[in-house]
Amino acid sequence: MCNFNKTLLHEYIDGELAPLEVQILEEHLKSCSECRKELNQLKILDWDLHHQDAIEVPYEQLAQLRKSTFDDCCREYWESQETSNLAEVYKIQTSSMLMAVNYMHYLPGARLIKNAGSSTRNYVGKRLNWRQLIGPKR
Amino acid sequence: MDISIHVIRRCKQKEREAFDILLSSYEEQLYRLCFHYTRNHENSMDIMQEVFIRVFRAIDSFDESRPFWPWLKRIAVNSCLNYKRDEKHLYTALEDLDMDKPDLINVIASHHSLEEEIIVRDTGRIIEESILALPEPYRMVITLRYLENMSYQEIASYLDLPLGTVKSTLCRARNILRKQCQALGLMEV
Repeated sequence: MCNFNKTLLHEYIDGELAPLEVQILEEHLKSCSECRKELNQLKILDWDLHHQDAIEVPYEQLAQLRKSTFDDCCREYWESQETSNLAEVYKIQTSSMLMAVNYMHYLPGARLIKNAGSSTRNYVGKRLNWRQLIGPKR
Repeated sequence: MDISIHVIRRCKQKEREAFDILLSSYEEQLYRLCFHYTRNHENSMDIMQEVFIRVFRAIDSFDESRPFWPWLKRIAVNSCLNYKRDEKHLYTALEDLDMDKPDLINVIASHHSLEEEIIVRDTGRIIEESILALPEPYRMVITLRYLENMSYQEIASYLDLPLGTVKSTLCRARNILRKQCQALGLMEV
């Protein structure tokens, strides 16, 4: 049973060994039939894996798939953009209205307007005769 | 072959035609990668669709200073790895292996030696079935090594694995395949 590091055999057939490691391995192979056999098997497997059946590419189906997928993706994207634009407009309008309402609290004379409003209510609450306000009937 | 930055920028603006220009030149290579991994047409098409969708969503994050193909290939590799492979997928994949191949009667009529054809076909089928039966991440490592001819370092960066792990994974995957082929008498030397 050989104790040689078998990973080196794999790296050897993949061309991933350093020159010095290649020399050491080749020296070892001269005297080890077990590693030679394994290396030969790996080379056969490597050849089989490199020479698998050619893959038939379904060009038309792929083009169809690409077309339908990107059609859907683009449509969904632009629809969502439109919806989000409407939502954005709604949001901006709502916020500007809220800001306007808030600004009312800081208006100079806001208290006066408020008091005037309540005074008017009180005045109206007394059920005044409108004639008194608009003057005598001609 | 790499695509112009202009087309990628158009894709980032979500221009429909730009995606056709961008992907049409790569879809053949993408399909080969998916098919090599799944060994099944239907599953490959499912993954291809997933790749297209991911490209559409992720194109905004693509760094224009880098080449496009490695980025796209990484998306395809991740889509393959994430593809849910249940028993049904595996079952249909195994059943479909011979469906697209010509009948033996055509081989008899051709100039090729029938015996050689049967041996080559059997070997190819056994190798395919053996690769299909490999657990992850062995399958993807084998795919990247033999379809894309990637070096250990490239595989490591694609799969976010340490270099040593890639070496040992490839070594184990090949040992599994070698033992299976050996058991079936395909390793007579």
